[in-house]
Amino acid sequence: MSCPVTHPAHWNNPVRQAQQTFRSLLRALSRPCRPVPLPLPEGTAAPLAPELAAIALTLCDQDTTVWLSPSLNEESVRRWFRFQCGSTMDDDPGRADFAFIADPEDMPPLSVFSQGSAEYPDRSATLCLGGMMFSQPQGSFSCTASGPGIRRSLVFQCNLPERFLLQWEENHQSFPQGVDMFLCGEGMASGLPRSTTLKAQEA
Amino acid sequence: MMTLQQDICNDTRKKTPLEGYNFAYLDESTKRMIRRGLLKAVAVPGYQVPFAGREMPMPCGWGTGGIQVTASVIGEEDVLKVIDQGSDDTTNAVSIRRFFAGTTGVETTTHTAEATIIQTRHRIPEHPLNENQILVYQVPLPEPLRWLEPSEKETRTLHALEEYGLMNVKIYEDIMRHGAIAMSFDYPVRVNGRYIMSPSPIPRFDNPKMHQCPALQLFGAGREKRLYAIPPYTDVKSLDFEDYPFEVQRWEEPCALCGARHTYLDEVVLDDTGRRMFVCSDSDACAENRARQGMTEVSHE
Repeated sequence: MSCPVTHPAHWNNPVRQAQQTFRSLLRALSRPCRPVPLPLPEGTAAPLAPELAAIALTLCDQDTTVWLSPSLNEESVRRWFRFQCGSTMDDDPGRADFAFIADPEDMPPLSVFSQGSAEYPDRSATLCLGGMMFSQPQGSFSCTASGPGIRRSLVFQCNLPERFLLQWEENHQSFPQGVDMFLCGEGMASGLPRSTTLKAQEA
Repeated sequence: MMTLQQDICNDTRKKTPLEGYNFAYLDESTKRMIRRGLLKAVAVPGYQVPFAGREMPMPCGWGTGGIQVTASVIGEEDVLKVIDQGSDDTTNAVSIRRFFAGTTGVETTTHTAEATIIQTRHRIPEHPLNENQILVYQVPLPEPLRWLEPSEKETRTLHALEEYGLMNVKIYEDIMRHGAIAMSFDYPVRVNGRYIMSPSPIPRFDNPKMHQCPALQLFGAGREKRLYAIPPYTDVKSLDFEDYPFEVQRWEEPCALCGARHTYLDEVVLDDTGRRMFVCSDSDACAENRARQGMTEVSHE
C-alpha cells in the first residue's frame, strides 16, 4: 500500500523548482533524444514515478485534462493530481492534454491520443512515459534520430519495444499533427517531439 | 541624472527582487500556460501557437510578447541581455532590462557571449550564438500572410493546407515592380521545409543567422497573442526564386566607428546639411571591435 497522503510529492520552492524543471523540459524537447537531468520533488506520489510527478507539478493545472495509464489509474494517484495540480481526470485518452504512462508495457497505441487538428496542431496530447532506461538498455532498441534540434543525426538507445518504431513513424508522418513525448527515467527526461525521425539501426 | 553607462553598470549586479511581486512579475498559472504553449511551439517549428496574452505594465508594441516569454523562461541563474535594434542603451532595451532586474534580481549584461537569455527587438546579435543561449524575439505581426489575407480563419487554413501560392505571387509582383525582391526587413522564411514564418522585423541581413542556429529561438507576439519557435539546428530558408536568389544587404563603406565591413550598418544623420555616417547597429559588437583595435574615445568630428 502506498500512502502519498502522509508525504505527497511536492516542491519545497514551487516558483524556482517549476522554473528549473520547465527549463530542463524545454532543453529536452528542443534537443531531442538527449536525456536531461530533472529536478525531482520531495515526497512520493507512488506508483507515479518522481520524474512524472515533476512534470505534472510543472505543467498541469486546472486548465489541463490528464489521462493515467491502467497501472497508474488508482485513487491515490488521482487524488494526488486533483489536490497538487487541480487537473481534471479523464478515462478517455482522446480528450487528454497530458497522458502519464507508468512504463512502455503500459502504453496504448499513440493513435488513441488527441492528435490536434490541421489548423491547430498544438491541441494534441503530450505523453509522459516513465520507466525508461538510457544507460544500460535491456532489450535492443537502438535507432538513429534526426530532425530539428539535432545536428545531423545521433544514436539513441533506450528500452522502448521494437514495435514502437512503427508507431512513431506513423506519428511523424502525420506532421504537423501528432503527439509529443517525454521519455522519463533514471532522474532524467528525453524529449521526443513529433518532428523527430527515428530510424532502426542496422545491427 | 545618471548616464546610460552608469545605469547599465548599476543594473548588471545581482539584486534582491522587488517585494510584493512574484518572481519575474507573471503569476505561476500564466507561466504554466505560456510554458505549455512554448513546448508545443518547439514541437511544431514555425507554427503559431495561440496563447492568452496578459496585460503587462507597458503598452503593446513595447515588447509585451517577448517579455511574457522571457518571464516564463527566466530563472535565478540566468544572465539577461536586452537589445533594441541591436543597441543595449535605447529606451526599450533599458526599460525591459530594468523591469527584469527589478522583478527577478538576475544578473544582466551587454555582452552577447556572456548572456544566457537575449531578448531582442528587430536584430540578431553579430556575435555567433551558442547552444546554451535562448534568443527571445519581440514580434509585432506574427502572421506572414496577413498583408495578403486579412482573415485569421483563412490564413490558418492556408497554413494547414500548406497553400503558400499567395506568398509566391507577392514575391513575383515585387520583382515585376521593383526588379528585385523589395522586402528589406521581416523577410518571410520557411522553417524545416513546412511552415512559412515571419522572422519579426529583423533586417534580411540577419535571416541567414537563423539557419542551423545552435541557440533556441523563441518568438512572442503580445498584441496578437501568438508564440512560435525555431529549435536549434533547424533549417530556415528565406523565400526566393531560382533566378532571383535571396541576397543580404551590403554597404559600400565600413562602419564609421570601428571599421567593420561585415556587420549591419545604421545610417545616422549628423546635421541639416545632409552629412551622415554609417555605424554598426549592434552596439556591443562595435564596442568590442573598437576595444580590440585599442580605440577608446569615439570621435564625432
